[in-house]
Amino acid sequence: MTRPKIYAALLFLVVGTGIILGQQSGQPSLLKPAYFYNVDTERRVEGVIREVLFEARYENRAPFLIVVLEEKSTGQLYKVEISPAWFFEHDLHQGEHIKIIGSFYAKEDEYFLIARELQVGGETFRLRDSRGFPNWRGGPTKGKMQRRGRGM
Amino acid sequence: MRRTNIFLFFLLPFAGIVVIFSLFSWLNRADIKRKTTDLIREQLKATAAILRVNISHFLEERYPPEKILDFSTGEEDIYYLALLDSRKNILVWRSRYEGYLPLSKEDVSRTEPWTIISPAGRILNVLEPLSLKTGEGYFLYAGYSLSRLDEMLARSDRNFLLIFGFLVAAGILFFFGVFGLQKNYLAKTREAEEERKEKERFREISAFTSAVAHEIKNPLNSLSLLCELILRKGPPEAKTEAIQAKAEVSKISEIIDRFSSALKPLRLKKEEFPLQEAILSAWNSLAAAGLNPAVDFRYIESRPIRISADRELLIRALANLLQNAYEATDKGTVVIEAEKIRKKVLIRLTDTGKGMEKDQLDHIFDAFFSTKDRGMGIGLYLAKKIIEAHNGRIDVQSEPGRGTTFIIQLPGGRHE
Repeated sequence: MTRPKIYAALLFLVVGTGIILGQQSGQPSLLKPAYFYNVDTERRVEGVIREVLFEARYENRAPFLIVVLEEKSTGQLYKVEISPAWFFEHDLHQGEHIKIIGSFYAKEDEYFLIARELQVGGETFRLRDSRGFPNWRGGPTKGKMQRRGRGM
Repeated sequence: MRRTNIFLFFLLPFAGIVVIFSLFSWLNRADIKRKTTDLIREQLKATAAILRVNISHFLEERYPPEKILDFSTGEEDIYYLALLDSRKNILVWRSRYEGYLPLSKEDVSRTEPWTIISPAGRILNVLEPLSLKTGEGYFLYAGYSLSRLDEMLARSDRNFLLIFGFLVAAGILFFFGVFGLQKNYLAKTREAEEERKEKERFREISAFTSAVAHEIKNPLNSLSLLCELILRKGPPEAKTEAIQAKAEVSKISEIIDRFSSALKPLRLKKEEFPLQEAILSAWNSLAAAGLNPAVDFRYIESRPIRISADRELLIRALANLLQNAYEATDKGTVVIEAEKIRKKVLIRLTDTGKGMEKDQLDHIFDAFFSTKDRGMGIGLYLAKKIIEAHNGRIDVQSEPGRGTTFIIQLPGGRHE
C-alpha cells in the first residue's frame, strides 16, 4: 500500500469513527438542516400518497421516511418529511389517504412539509411537539411513536 | 386523654412545626431557585456575549455565515443557533435536533431572553443584535439548555421531600412516644389517686372500727365478769343461761378481735420453720372447731420445705384460705400442694367446691366482701394482706361448679 493510500485509509478511519461515536453518544455538533420547523408556516394538508421514499435529510442521521403527497383539493404535490424511518412503525402505502399537519416551505418550485402530526386509517401519529421538537429525540415519547385512535 | 387535649398538645404543635418548616423551606428554595436561575442566566448571557463578539469578528473578517456557525457550535449547552439579518430574516442556522428552531414571528420582536419548555428540558432563548464596525447589522439567536439548572432544582426538590418525609416520620414517632408516655403517666396518676382514696377510706374505717371496738370491749369485759359472777354466786338454775351468755360474749369479743387485727398494720416476726408444720397447724385450728367429714384433705409436698416467715400470721392466712375452701365444698377434696421453684415457694390450695363467677373473683380479696350469708368478708382480705406483707402474691382461679384454686407465691424458702 502506498503512503497516500495509507493516509487516506487512516483519515477515513478517524472520520468514520468520529461520525459513529457522534451518532452513538447522541450529543453531536449542531446539525445543518435545509429547513427548520417554522410554526408560522404550519398548515393542514389532506391527500393521497403518491410515493414513499427514504432520504438522508440531516447530516450524520439515519434516513428519513418521505412521502410524496397529492393534495386532494388542489392536486398540488408535497414532499412530506415524516420522521427517521426507524421511528415510524406504521407502513404507509401508495394510494393511501392521509392528513398532515406540518410546516410548509417551498424550494425550487417544489413544495415541502415537515410533518408534526399524521393521520392515516383512523390513527393519529404525533411526530413533533407544538414547537417542532422531534418526538424521537426526547421526552416521554422518546424512542416510541405517540399514536392515538384505532389500534391503541 | 381527651380528644381536644390530643389536638392542642400534640397535633397542633406538630402541624405547626411542619407548616413552619415547609414555609421556610419553600421560601428558602424559592430564593435559591431565583438566585441560581439568575446566576445561570448571567452565565449564559456572558457566554452569549463571547459568542457575539466572536461571530462579529468573523463577520467582519468576511467569513461565510455557515462557516462562522460551524466554528461556534462546540458549546455543549447550545441547542440551536441562528444568524439573522438586520430585518430578522434567518440567514443560516444550526440545531442539535432535526428541524428544531423554535423561533416564531412573535419571538423576533423580543428584546429580553425567554424560556421555552421542550421534551429535552427548559431552553433559554436569546435574540441579540450584532453591530459590526462596518455598520452592518445582524441578530444572533441562540437556545441554551437549562437542563443542568433543572437537574439542580429537581435534586433540591428531592432533598426537600426526603427531609420533609424524615421530619414527618420522626414527628409521628415522637408523637406516638410522647402520647404513650402521657397515657401511661395519666393511667398511673389515676391509679395512684384511686389508691390514695382507697387508703383514705380504709383509714377512716379503721379509725371508726377501732373506736367502736374500744367502746364495745369495755362493756363486754364487764358483761363477761358479770356472767362469771352469776356462774359462781348465782342460783344454780341460772348457770346454764350464764354459760350461754358468756359464750355469746366471747364470740362477740372474738369478732371484734378479728376486725381489729384485720385493720391493724402488720408487724412481721420472721423465723424459719417447716412449711408443713404451718399448714398442719392451720388445718388443726379449723379441725378443732369441727370440719365437714365429707371433705378429704391432702397435703402434697415434693420435698420438705423450710420457709422464713411470721409463723402465726402465715398460719392465720392459711387457715382463712382453708376455711374458705371447706365452706365452699360440700363434698370432695381440699388439696394443698407446695413446691420450691427457683427463689420462690409456690403453694396451691385447690378445692372441688362450687367455684365462683368472674364478677365475684374481681372482688374476692376486697375487705368486707363476702359471698356467704354469714361471712364478714375479712378472711381472704386478711390472707392477702399477710401474704403481701411477706412480699409475696396471691392469685385465684375459679370455675363455677368445678372449684377454686388459690396460688400463693412467697419469696425465699429452701429444701430441708
